[in-house]
Amino acid sequence: MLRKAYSILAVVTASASVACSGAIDPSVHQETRQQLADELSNTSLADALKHREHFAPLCDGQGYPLPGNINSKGPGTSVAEFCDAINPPDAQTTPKPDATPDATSPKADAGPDASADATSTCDLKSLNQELSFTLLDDAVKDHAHFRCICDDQGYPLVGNINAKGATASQFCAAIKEKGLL
Amino acid sequence: MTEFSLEAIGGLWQKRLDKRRVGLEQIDWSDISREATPDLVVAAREVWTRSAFSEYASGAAFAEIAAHLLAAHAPIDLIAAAGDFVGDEMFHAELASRVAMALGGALPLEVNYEKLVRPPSGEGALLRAAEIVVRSCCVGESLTVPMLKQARRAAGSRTIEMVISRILRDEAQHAELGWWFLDWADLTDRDRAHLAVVAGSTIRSFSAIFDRECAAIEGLGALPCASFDGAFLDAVTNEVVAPLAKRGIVVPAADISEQTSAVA
Repeated sequence: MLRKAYSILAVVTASASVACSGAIDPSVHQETRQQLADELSNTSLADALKHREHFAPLCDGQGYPLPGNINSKGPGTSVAEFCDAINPPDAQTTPKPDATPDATSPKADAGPDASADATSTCDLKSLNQELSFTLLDDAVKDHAHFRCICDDQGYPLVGNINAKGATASQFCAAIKEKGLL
Repeated sequence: MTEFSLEAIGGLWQKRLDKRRVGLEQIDWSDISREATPDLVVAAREVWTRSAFSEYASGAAFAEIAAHLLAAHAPIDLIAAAGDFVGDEMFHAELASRVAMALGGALPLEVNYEKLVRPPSGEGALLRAAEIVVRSCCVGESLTVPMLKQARRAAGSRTIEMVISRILRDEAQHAELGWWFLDWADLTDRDRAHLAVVAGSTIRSFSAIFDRECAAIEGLGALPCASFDGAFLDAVTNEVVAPLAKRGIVVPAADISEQTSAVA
């Protein structure tokens, strides 16, 4: 018999949330967002962009999906794709949430990017952003360009950015596997 | 890579963890929604999602520490403490998770569960144990305590203050284990030189934090750079570098100055 465990931390669906959904943005009720996300999931990206004002409440001012936790599974556009499309990285003037200093982040031995040696000649931040919009295969082909975001043991020196390209962890693991470190 | 989430199985195992939950019944989680302001919620969900992972990964670090202390034939009460700290960290992960869930749920965070702790590279069981203890306890946990205190001062929420206070009750001991181990271990000058490099590179690894953009406002566990950076650098000097130096482990000056310049 498979014994079931219960979730104590999850990227939640809107219907499962939340004690304070109203606190996130009182002007757009969470159920409305869910409906919008459902509608978006049945709309092509091109059509969604034609009606960007209609779907805009799904994204925050930083191009981040507000209900980044709503997993609608229609054939159309995901919330993340739509928010990326209306806020291309170059146009973003404010950081994504991973920019926030974390009060407990010093416990980092712990994290995959924690015990790393950042090199002063490597612009980790911009390379990481560039990588996040580069497909993994392309990044591996151009491994010399991105190499300095990994340490000598294949651990990333930066955090992962979730976008359309490769993450630092994926890239570092790939070049380690291929003996390119 | 996997999206970070946590599960519990309940039953007698939950009851076992209940022993650590003293004080938890005083926390009213629904208060968070009343205390949270809209402009802080997304940043706070990010902070507490990362915190939950950080606590989880610290649990992995203490599991490794316990194994290395066993291999190093360390005093049994130190070994028992390290094992016990795994339980502390799982409870802290639960606390952070409950905050994140009360704020509206975790934000997506991709993690690699197979690479939670960097394996030590030193020669011999004692030095390997010392290496992982220095990284996790003497640096990581020592820096955590003052930063948590700073976050508690700026929390602006009674509930968050209670959560951080509960975590802080354990964290001071987590750091202390490192100093007690170093005071016990019969290390050579060569070992100390190796540990100084390890400590320096661990400190330098935090440069990534300063690469991030700053939070605009503080509260609910999030700190803007004005509050975070100075406190962090003070903690590096006073809570890490000075006590290590007292034990003959002198962190290279370049590692410290790199931190300072990263902030500047």
